[in-house]
Amino acid sequence: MAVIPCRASSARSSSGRVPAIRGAADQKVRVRYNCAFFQEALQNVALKVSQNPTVRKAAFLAMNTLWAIPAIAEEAEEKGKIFDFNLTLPIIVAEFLLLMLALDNLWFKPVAKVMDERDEAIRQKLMGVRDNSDEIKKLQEQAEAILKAARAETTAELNKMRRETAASLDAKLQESRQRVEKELAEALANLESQKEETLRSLDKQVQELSDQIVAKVIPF
Amino acid sequence: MQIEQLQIFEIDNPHQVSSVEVHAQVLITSWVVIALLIALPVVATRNLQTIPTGLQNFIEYVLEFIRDLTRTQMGEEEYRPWVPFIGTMFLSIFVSNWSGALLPWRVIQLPHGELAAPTNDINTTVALALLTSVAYFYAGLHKRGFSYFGKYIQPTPVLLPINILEDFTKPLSLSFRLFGNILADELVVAVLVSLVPLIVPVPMMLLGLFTSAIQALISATLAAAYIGESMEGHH
Repeated sequence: MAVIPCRASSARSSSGRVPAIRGAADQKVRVRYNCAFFQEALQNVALKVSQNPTVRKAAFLAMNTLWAIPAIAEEAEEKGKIFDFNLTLPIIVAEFLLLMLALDNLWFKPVAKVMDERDEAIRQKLMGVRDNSDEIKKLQEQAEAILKAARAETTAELNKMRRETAASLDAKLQESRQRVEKELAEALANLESQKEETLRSLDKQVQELSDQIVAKVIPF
Repeated sequence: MQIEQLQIFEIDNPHQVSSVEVHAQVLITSWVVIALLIALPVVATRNLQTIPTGLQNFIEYVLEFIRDLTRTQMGEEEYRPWVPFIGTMFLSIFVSNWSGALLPWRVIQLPHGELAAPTNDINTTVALALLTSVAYFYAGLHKRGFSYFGKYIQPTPVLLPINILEDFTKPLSLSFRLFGNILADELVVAVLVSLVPLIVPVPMMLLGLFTSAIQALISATLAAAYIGESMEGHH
């Protein structure tokens, strides 16, 4: 049966098997690989399997491929392969998480606080400005109302004045008309009386004239 | 150029079954990235003022950018808790890539391997992709409970295998996109530098800066998009 090729446990003795690219110096530490435990378990399985011929063949093939893999891996590992995953991976995970905590507390939280406070202050100031414009509108409305009231007052006053002057003018007109009529009536009355007088005087003169005529005409 | 590992663990116990290895060059460069990313806000938040100037202006701009990115992908109501995650994703990838391209790592000679961007290692990119996967699963389960699994049969149950496959291809594509871009750029620049070190590699390096910045943006945007998609519900 195949024997598992286990690497020797001594550090310095296996330095000859390692290619020169590794460069085994004395300070370099070596990897140990102990597989005696595996060897025993697999030999037990092999015993059980060797009863059945087909299974034995399949096991033979499987075993050979299985033994080939560590050898290939060992070779590739010593060449410095591109895809070797090792403890670096979890270490990087841990580093990333610690970095995330540190950055959150040192950078993101304080700077976010300052930025948010600034935004809040600006928003407050903007709100304040908007309230002032409301007040201004109210004041404007008040001013307009006052103006309207004043205008209404003045027009009312104006109308009153007009009416009053018209009334006084009318009164004066009436007065003068009455005076004129009175004087006219007086003048007419005067004329009438003068006419009466002249008529009377005429009558008297006519009487005198007629007396004179009679006196002259009738000689006695 | 080879990406070799520094083996820094020794296991003396003869009953140990497997080996434990670490890519120490990735750890070293990632520590430098972390140091840069922590030093920046510590210096900049010394004296925060209402009217920002200089460095405070810059970090506020970066935070505004990250918030906008997250809000675009996840919507106005639920983007707030995820800003740290997406921000750290974006900033770590961005600073990693640019540190690999801009800092003179070659000055420090290691006995084995080289220092370069930490994202040129498959472990880093797969770690970030797995974190994104876990994040969007957590987001979906936290928001919708077990009805989150209803999304697998969402448009029609015929698409169930494709939806399940999507859960594997999402982290795969995230990790390989970033890994391939960064590693390939580094390799090309290294080859050009080894051939004609003077002027010729410079356009390639500038292109590398541009594409690595885009990759950081894409990784963060896609992470936010996956999280937003798993929180929102119907397609």
